[in-house]
Amino acid sequence: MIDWAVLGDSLSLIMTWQVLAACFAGVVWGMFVGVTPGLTGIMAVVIALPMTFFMEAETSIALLLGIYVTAIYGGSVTAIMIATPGTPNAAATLLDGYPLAQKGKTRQALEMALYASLTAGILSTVIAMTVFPVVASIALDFGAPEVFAVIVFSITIIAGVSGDSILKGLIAACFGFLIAMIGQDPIHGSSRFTFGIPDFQAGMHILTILVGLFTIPEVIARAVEAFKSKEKITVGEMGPALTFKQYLSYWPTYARSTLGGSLLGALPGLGGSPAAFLGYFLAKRFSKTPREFGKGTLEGVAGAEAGNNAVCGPALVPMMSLGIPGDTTTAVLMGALVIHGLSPGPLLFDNEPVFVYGVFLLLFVSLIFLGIVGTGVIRVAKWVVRIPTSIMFPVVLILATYGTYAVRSTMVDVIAMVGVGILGYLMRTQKIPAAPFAIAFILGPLLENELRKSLIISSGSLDIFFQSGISITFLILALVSAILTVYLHWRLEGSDAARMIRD
Amino acid sequence: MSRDVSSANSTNSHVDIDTPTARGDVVAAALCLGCGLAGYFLVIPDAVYVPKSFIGTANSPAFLPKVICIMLSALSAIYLVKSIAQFRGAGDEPRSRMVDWCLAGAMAAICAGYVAGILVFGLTFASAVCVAGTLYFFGERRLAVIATIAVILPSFLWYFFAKIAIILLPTPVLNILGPFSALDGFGDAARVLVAQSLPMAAGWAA
Repeated sequence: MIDWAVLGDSLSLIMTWQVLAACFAGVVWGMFVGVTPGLTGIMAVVIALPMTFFMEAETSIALLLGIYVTAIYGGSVTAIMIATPGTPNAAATLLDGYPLAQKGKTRQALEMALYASLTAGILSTVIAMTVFPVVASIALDFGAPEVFAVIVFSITIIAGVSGDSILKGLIAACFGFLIAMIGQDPIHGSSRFTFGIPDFQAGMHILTILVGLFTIPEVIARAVEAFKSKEKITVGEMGPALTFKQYLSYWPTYARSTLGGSLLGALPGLGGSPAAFLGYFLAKRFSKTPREFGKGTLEGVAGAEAGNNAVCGPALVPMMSLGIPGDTTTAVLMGALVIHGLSPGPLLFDNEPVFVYGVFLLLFVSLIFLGIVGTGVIRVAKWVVRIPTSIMFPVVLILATYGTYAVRSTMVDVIAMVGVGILGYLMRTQKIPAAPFAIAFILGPLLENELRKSLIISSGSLDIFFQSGISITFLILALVSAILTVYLHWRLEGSDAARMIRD
Repeated sequence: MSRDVSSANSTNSHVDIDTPTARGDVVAAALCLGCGLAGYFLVIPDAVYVPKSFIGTANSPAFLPKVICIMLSALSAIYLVKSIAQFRGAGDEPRSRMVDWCLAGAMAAICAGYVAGILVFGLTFASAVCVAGTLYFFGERRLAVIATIAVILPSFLWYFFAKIAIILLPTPVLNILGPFSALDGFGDAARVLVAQSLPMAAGWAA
């Protein structure tokens, strides 16, 4: 539990103008990177890292945490407004955020994304602070079979985001899995589907696939619409603001998605994208209006944003308590700690308790600054929505291309983006959903990695998945979730009400 | 499939391009089935290297791709059977307009041409041409607007990515633009243009 005396010392450690200024600068830089397609949170942190060499430990971690927290939210702004996820974490937000913008509710979508992010960020940091040692010990119990079981559970999300047809969703997911397998095999390093092209060895980048799946089909569809239309069409309308009552009405969604995101955040190697989709899935599963998901509902935005922002605090727990970074960005944060003479691991909390609590307090400070900067960004958005589509979408095409190229500086990514984009448009014309493709692409490599590691440990025996309580629990949950989703889908499809809604 | 074909507008002979048709479902299902079977029988044996000691085991690099291809084939076969049944029951089904497909194809061709342009002319120049063409395609007819965006946007992006983010932009492979091919920005291009044209102009004047 929290040591209040140490917490007081931590507060005085971070309440200096240098630390607060660094944190604010990090938030502004993180927001800029987040809203720029192609610049990811990890790039922002890496670019800022050399600046921290000349700072105190708490000042440097304030700068990096500000970037880390804000870049996750920033990606949702472009996802909502122009169907281009600024970062991979925002892919799930796009599913309902962009339809909301098309309905003229851009402001509500942006505000919901911001407030859900803040709420989940605060809740997950409280969870991380209060159960710091417990979470660390639980995370230590997760071996390859347990992580595999969690991923299998997460994959049941596919059925939940398949729209009208689970069959089409599963077919799209198969394509996502296959595209994810391009490159080196994760265990042996053998080439798969590279066809002798060296640039394929590293596989397809997630941002390439997301821009291809969501942005390019939208550009093509808007081009067809704009060519035929005589009137000037704008990107959307800001619409009404989110009311406090609307915000409060989604409290259960924030809570569920925060818990799901916190769990995935504490597990090394999973990151924010699966957490966002899990949050979205949980929101849909417990929603009273699941059929509205994908057509523009605030609940979907709330679930996705709460899910991905809930990762921040818990992701620091295994990094600081066990010395295991949860994802690439926390690995860079860990490097920053090492540069300043701090050794993340079991002894960090005993040796530097004031600093450890200071890190969590800085997460709160970053979230407060995010609230201020995020509100400013929403105010600027009102000018963006007035831009005619005849100008906006050509610009989006160019931005998406630069963004895709910039991630790895290879033209193969740009070619793949256009290829996947054309495939995505063809899928769209037959209502084959893109979200299962994206989820399978994100989770596929993780699933294969953990499956094969487990099989190596057990010498090929499947018994390893039924030897621990955690693994069995998640496999049963996955089975129940899959059966329930198919059953509910079938029932709703067959009902008169469903037919009326469809017609 | 949940789509109700009979609900499509039966009084018109055309539907929106985004409205799925039973005919389209049959084609999509056949393509998916083809992909699954080709993946299993042709692509995986050719494009997945399996070390000898792992042939036929669950730890083989080809194991999961094969499982996915089998799943894809099976699901596509179900999709095909269902969509053929729907197609037969659909009667005189409305089609999407050919002009819509042509427009979508033209926009896809612009995207593909843009990529080819990047390889030939470099990212900045190709972006300028592409944004101008796309603006026109989207219905923008004011030349001043097109020219302004076509110059300012690629220049800004070049400056941001090449000079601030220090990202090496792609250089054209075919060297068609001669001295300009090595350039990645309008500023440099303008300088070379001036540097080359001034002595030429001086020569003419003399």
